[in-house]
Amino acid sequence: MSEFLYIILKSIPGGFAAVGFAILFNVPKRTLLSIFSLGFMVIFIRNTAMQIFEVNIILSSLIASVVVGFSGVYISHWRKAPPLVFSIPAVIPAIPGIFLYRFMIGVITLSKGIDYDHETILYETMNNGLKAFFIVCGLAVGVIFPNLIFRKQSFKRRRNIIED
Amino acid sequence: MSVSTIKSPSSEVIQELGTVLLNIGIALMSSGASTSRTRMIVDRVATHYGMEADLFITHSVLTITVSDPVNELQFSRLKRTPPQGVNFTLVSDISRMTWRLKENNWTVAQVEEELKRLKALPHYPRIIVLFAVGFADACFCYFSGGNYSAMGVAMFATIAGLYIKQESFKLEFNQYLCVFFAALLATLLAGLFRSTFPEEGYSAAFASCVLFLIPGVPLINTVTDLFEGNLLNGLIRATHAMLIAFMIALGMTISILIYHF
Repeated sequence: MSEFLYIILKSIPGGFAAVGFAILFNVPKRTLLSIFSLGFMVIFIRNTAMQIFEVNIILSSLIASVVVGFSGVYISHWRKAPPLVFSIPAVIPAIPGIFLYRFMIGVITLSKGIDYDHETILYETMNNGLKAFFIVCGLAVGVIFPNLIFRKQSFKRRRNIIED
Repeated sequence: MSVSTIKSPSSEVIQELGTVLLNIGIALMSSGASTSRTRMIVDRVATHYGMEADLFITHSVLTITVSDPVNELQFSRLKRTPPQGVNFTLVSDISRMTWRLKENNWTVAQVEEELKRLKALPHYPRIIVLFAVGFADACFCYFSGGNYSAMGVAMFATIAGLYIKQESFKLEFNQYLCVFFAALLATLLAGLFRSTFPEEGYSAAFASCVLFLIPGVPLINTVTDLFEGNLLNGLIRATHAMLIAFMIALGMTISILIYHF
């Protein structure tokens, strides 16, 4: 239980990070609170999946972003703004900055010369880079997933309007 | 048939509507909407006035052909899209406007006026943007395992970097160069703290102080466009996002080489 509380506390900065990016993207003021809770949710779901259910980080990021993508669609009806306004700032806290940084440092080290323990560095660099790449892909695909599903519906509605 | 014989009240309407539709499309594309959303909104407005609109959308140019099926009139125009920052309030407001214009049966002139008003709406005050983004990067630093002083350093470096990005954007530098300046300054400042106090654990601050530059909107719009069949636009957006990421890496690399991390 205390582990769960710890995850909740550690997820709160996710909400603030999401709001920071939301303000940078100039979202409407009425959406800020929803974006805070969605940003919190992304980190909370990812960390819960990773630490309690022991899912790997790529899959847990994908799960978190799919949940946020769907929540974004439902909140968008309630708050009267397009879903992307909610889901794009919300998933940004889940972008793996530290892996990207380690990948870059690895690449710089590899390009310096071969008098290091370059085999380990090569594996570590590849691992960090691929992890970062797949996490980012997972986040982006997860966010647009509801878009792909609901697309059919809104297209039908549009055709009805034309026929009317 | 000479041009004067085509002139009729309806041809003026189609011209006016075509220009408004083009402006709506440009406003949407330059403030961060995906290609399919832009097309959907423009279609929605055109359908309301009984016209058909066909769009050719690229990242820098928009082409529209509006056709009136009843009077067999056509209107075509091409307009450049200015590079602008992401503005989700405008995207959301235009979307709401299209529903309101359906409910209240607005005239084209009313739509034009409303669009002008929405474009002129103020953004968040600059100081709030600076501190909010600084705090966001401090949170990133927290996720990377930084302590409170590292979070402070990340926030300070981010605010300086964002300030330089805004200022260089105002001076109309190349947009990728603006990103480079921001990344360089932010990492130089964070790196200064890191090399002065090596045992404080400021590497997390150094790693996270450039994260405010990550091209989140182009990246997600890339995937949206690719999956919805707008392959060309998706690839263009992907290239744009890659260039931004490359410029961040370049700025950071120079700092790393200067400080020998």
